[in-house]
Amino acid sequence: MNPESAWKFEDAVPCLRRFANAVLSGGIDAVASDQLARQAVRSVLAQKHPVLDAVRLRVSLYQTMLKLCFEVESAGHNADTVTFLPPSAVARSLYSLSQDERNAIVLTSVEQFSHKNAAVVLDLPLWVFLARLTRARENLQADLSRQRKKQPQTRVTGTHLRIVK
Amino acid sequence: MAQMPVLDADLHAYVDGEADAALREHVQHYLSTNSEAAGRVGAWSMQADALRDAFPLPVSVRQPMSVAKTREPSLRRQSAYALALFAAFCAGVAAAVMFFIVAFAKTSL
Repeated sequence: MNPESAWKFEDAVPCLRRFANAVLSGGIDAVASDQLARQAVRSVLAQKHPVLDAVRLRVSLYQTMLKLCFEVESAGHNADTVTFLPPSAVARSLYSLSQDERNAIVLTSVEQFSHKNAAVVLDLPLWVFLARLTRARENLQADLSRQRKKQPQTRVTGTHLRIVK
Repeated sequence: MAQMPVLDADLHAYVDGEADAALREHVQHYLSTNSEAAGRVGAWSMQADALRDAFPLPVSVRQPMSVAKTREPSLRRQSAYALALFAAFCAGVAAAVMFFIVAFAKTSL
């Protein structure tokens, strides 16, 4: 099933929290992300113009959340103090990308937006969004390769374990 | 007839499951003849899987938000009113019963 059509309003807060965690450099702690997500939901539900369908509601929620994340980033979000996130290689590489590239790849790969709707969330023409996504994927791959080269090679041969029957 | 070129947009559509059957077949044919593009597409797919694994849905720190949740305080208030009314009614009935018992006792004495 298409992830966009399977989305439910009850998932809004956890999905928006995950989004904030991925787009804010270094992640964000659970309570702060929960507050941001609920603020975004309240803000969208308080809008005078009714949102007609789930897809448009979801787009509005992410647009609002993105603005809130931008405010947090501008207010001096300190990535160095956030330590709750598991230090996976791909998360480290994601945080090394520029904010624009990170937004594009997170909306597509993590939140599973269609390219068209991800471009709407970011207020970009589709071709600009796709160019950004290409750059994000290439840069992420380059950073992952650099990380792999830095890691010491682990030897798989010469193990001291024996098979005991 | 010349083959349509495969653009980056087509490769993204293929990786993200947005390609229709015709485009998917076209891209698959292109990838089978172009190992460099096949490597890129494979890497992008692995990235997407790794990112989804690295960012699972967080555990809730509070109750889920729903439309029904916003109605809860008024429902609670309504039940409090109903309970107060019921208690007042019971007190009234008890007072009336006591009154009749006392009146009956006085007349019988």
